[in-house]
Amino acid sequence: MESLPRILILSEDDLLAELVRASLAGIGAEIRCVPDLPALERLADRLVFDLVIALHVWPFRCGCDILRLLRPDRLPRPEIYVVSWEQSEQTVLGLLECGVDQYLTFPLNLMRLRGKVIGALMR
Amino acid sequence: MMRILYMLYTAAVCAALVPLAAVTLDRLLRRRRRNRDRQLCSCSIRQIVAAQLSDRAAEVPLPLGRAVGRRRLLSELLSELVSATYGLDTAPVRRIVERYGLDRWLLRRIRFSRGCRRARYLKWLADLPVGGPARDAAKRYLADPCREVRFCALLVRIVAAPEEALRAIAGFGAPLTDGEVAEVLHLLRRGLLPIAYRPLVGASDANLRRLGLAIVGQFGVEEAEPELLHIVASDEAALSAAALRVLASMHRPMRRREVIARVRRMVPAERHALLRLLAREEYAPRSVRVLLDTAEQPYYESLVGSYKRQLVWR
Repeated sequence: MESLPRILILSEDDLLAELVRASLAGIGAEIRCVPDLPALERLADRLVFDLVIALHVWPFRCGCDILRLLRPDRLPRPEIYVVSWEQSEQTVLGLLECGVDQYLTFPLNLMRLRGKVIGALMR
Repeated sequence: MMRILYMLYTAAVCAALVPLAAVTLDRLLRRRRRNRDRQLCSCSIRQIVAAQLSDRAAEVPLPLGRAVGRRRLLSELLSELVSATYGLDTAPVRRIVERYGLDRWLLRRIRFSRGCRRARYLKWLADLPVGGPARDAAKRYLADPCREVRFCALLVRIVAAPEEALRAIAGFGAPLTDGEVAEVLHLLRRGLLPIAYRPLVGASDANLRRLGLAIVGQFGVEEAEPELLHIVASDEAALSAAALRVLASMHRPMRRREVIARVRRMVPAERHALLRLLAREEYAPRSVRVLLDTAEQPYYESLVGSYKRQLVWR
């Protein structure tokens, strides 16, 4: 039996995490939410994810090599989406250069996000 | 005698322990209530988003309707939901507002509160899809002594009548701060205002010009460079500096006549702030040499060489 694709939502804001989780309901994926990096590390040790959605920019600025954590060697490479309130060009370019696949800003179109996630999981 | 002493001792211990126990109990109850509210919020938001995505009616009553202080929690939840999303069907949210009487409750809270609380309730009212009468009732707070309240009342007015938004902003009566301009831009990003920068940048009112500059900077409208240079050449120092910042954020050439003249008129502190901005925007020393005097050239080169962003991002 084929297992469901796994999506991880990284957000310290419960409301936003629940909002994104609710918008992805019914797409046939296992969705987990973590509030901080220690919880992410614990989960990343046990599970491999197909898609990671970070709802903040700070995990990429705090000095932790989050991309290496999420994309360990010799394992499938999950796509990483960042959704944030920050809109400066430098932030976006910096994140894309360091390996983030998509950058979206709030206010967010949930239908669009859902479409992107479905497209990513189909790939 | 011993008995009396023992009673006094016991009374003193009780007097010390009872408040401690009360505080601990209060903390536990508050934590329990917060966790319960959080769970109810999660369940409610799932229902609301599901209703918005599937074009069907939200199941009412919502789980949050059972919570103590449900109207405050619902108002806050819906306000955050609406301000973090766009392009969704607002009918489910409108039905929830009507069912729980959130508009009437908010107006009552606005009337009986002051200062930042009144501003917060007005902000929630601006975010919720309430009817025209509720928004008309908020008009009176445009003359409130608290600036934050006046601005939130302006937001309510803008959302209520987007076609009169420019007139309302022009009539605000005080220069908008960067944070307030960002709030208006947020409405624009949600599709509540048109993105027409030309009438704003060319307007006679400073607030409209400030908003126009913010739109140009936000969306990187390079065609607006002549208008920006015109503002840079004007006598209004704050607007001129803001236009310079927008030009720099779009990486436009700094060797323009208007820019050089403006930079020469700046005091040393302003010049240093501008140089820091230019270094952050990755202008090479050669491309801004015309703006610098002999003493500033090594300063700018040291800024470029030591800028910490390079260490963080590259």
